[in-house]
Amino acid sequence: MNLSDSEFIRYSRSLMLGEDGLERQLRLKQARVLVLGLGGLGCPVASTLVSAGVGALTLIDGDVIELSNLPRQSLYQTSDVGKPKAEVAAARLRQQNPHSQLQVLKSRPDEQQLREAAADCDVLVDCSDNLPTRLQLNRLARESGKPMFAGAVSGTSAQLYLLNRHSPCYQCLVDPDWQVLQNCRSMGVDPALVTLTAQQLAWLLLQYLQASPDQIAQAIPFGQANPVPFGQANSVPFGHYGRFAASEHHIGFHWYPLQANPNCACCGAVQQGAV
Amino acid sequence: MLYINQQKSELQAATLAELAERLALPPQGVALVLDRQLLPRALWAQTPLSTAQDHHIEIFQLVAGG
Repeated sequence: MNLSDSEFIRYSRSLMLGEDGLERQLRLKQARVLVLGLGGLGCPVASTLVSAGVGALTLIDGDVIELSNLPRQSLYQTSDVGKPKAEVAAARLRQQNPHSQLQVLKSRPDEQQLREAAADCDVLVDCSDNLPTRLQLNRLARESGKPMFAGAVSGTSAQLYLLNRHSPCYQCLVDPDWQVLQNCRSMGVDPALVTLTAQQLAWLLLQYLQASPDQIAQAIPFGQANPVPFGQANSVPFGHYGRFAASEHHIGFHWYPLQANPNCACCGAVQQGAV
Repeated sequence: MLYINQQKSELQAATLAELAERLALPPQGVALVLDRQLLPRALWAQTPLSTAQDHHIEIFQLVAGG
């Protein structure tokens, strides 16, 4: 696989980033990413991945565009109200970068459809807006061994979690018996905070997708031994939960290692510290 | 001494579960970070709080919106 002349020009500024710029760009071109949810998080995440040159995306959202979506869901315009999100998002993304292959699911997928979609992808990205869907994708990520990158934003709270087959899972933290977690319908949402969170998620995804298998295998574990992880392509902090917060010297995402629940019905056997 | 969301607290509790009870935390949707470790609720009852050292606790609401 190589880049066409047009792709070389398109991605020229990215190719300048390091001696392995071409290899990194080619890894993006070969990647397939599943994005579940095309709302305030999913729009910027998908847009950044496609613009950066990710080769294929599976876009899933069963909702139609509502007027109240427009302040933060940047792929949609006023004239799109009432149209399926996945269809409109794909059309806009094709305009942004025709080199990306886009597969679209514009109805709410059942378990089997989602399982099949996940099986085709390298990475699962959860930008959904409800607890049952998040738990469903978490189960499929665990079942398939695929890494899961997730964002959640409501009100003025923004959270990220990055999980892989070695880490604790989302269900360690969130009990499936919980009826509901707060979302944008119940709490409102800060449009700029959604976009900021989405771009943090997209940046982490691109770091991961551009890294070589060796770089991923040799990644420095994120945590106390490596307090400044960002800027290193191969140190995505799997097994961590990030929360946007302000403290005395820092405004941004604060990252915490998630401890495993040994009785978790989804991943129970994961050993603590094996991230 | 306990520090809860960066504020000193006079509360005393033997475990995280006891602390959650004193704080009347809701039974669903809350996350608790103890000394920079995010602990699932299932571990709260077995996680002791020592009076011999400071503990930094952060409590926040888990959200699901996107």
